Amino acid sequence: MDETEGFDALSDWECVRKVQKGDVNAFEILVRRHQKTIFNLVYRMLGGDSDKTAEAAHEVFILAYKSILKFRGKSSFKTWIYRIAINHAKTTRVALANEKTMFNDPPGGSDYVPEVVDGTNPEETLAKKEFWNHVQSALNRLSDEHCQIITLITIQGESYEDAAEILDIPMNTVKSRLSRAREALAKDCESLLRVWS
Amino acid sequence: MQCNEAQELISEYIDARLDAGVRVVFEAHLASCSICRVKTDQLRRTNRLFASLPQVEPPIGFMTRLRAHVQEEATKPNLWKWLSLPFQIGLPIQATAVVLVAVLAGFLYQKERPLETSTQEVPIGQQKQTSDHDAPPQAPGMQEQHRQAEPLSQLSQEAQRQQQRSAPSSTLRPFGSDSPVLDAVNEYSRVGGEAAVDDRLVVRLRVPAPDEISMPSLSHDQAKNLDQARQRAAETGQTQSELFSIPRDRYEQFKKELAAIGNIESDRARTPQKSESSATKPDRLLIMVTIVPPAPAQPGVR
Repeated sequence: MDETEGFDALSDWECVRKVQKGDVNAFEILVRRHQKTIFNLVYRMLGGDSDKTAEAAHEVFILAYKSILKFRGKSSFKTWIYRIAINHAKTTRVALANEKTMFNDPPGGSDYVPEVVDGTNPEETLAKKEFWNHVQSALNRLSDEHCQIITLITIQGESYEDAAEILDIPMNTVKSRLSRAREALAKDCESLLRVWS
Repeated sequence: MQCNEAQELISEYIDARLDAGVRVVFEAHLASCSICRVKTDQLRRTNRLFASLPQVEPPIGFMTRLRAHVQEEATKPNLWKWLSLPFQIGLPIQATAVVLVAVLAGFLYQKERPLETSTQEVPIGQQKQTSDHDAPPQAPGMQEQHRQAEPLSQLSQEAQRQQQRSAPSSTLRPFGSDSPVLDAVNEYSRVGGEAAVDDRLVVRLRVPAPDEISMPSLSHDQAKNLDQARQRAAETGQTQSELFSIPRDRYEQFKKELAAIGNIESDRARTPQKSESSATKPDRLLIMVTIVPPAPAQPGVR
């Protein structure tokens, strides 16, 4: 029998309360609910590296577990763990950039001119993968602040309000930061935009 | 609307976040400005491109590894877990604060306790002998302890530490002690000062003063305190007061012994009343002794 059976009806806050009282099964429920979101958030901020993302996402949830007793429910659990993820990803991103082990552009870099693909054969799959690698590279070239805002709002689909709460910035800052980030990407992705429909 | 103003609004426009009135003005500008139209289209397509980035799945084994790590963390001792226990069980903050203050007070008392004296009330002439008859109730272990106890000030530092370590903590009394002197002070404070005193004796020192005094009704420390007060009064010319906790059946003897060092000038009409103090400790009296320096010699008197 699954030890987490019966937890699905509980809200995030109810699960948190159970975890705070020592129920680790309740924490597993929280992880299952949020792991994909956290994983993708971290993945995009860490340059699309799967191995580094798995390690960082693991650390995010362990950090969350270790500090869960401090969580008082003033924000939603999602906002709280997003904050942990963004802060951890930012720290990791800086460390990786210093090691120069991240953000190696795929061949062609920003001058990449993709082929037009319109089928589903293996070459097309590879071309697609290469295409998305270049899109990710454009994201990598953004500043930390622009990368965070684009990842949260454009890629993860969070609202302006949620982004303001997660990043702890005013709404006007959300709007201006997002506008600047989109302008930077638009300039960087002209060739990609020409073949993408 | 000008182009620079319109271009600031493109990002919000493509997210459908413009107010209705602003949106109408913006769209009117777009209709007449190809530059802003191209830029709006470019930002819209860029947004769609990045919104289309494929979602990735956590790798196989991610949950298994995480579960194992969490289980490991769950078995580790956690200071924050202990500190936040009152919040976990729903204890109100006020109650938690009271509990913490009480724990801290108890801790500080325990820490300060070695500074207190722990002597038994033993007549001077019988210092090495036991006198459990008048002693406050003690656990059997403590009685043995106090048979051997000496005033802390007379012990070497090492002996003091050994005596303190060997005292069983279960017999410690947070608001009292085994010292009659401290008992007297605590009792005096507990019931509100002067109201607690059973009798007041004013002793005017006699001239010449005796070389040494004998006070068998008092413990060694009590006798020492009295003698020191007597000497201070004589040397400084200032009145000195001392508080004594004395067994009721030794009170008369105490007064006789005091008479040896001076004239007792207390209000003879006042007999030991049943004060709040003696109500709680019926076999002991709290006596305030005021030592007055000798009266100055009258001129012309021989």
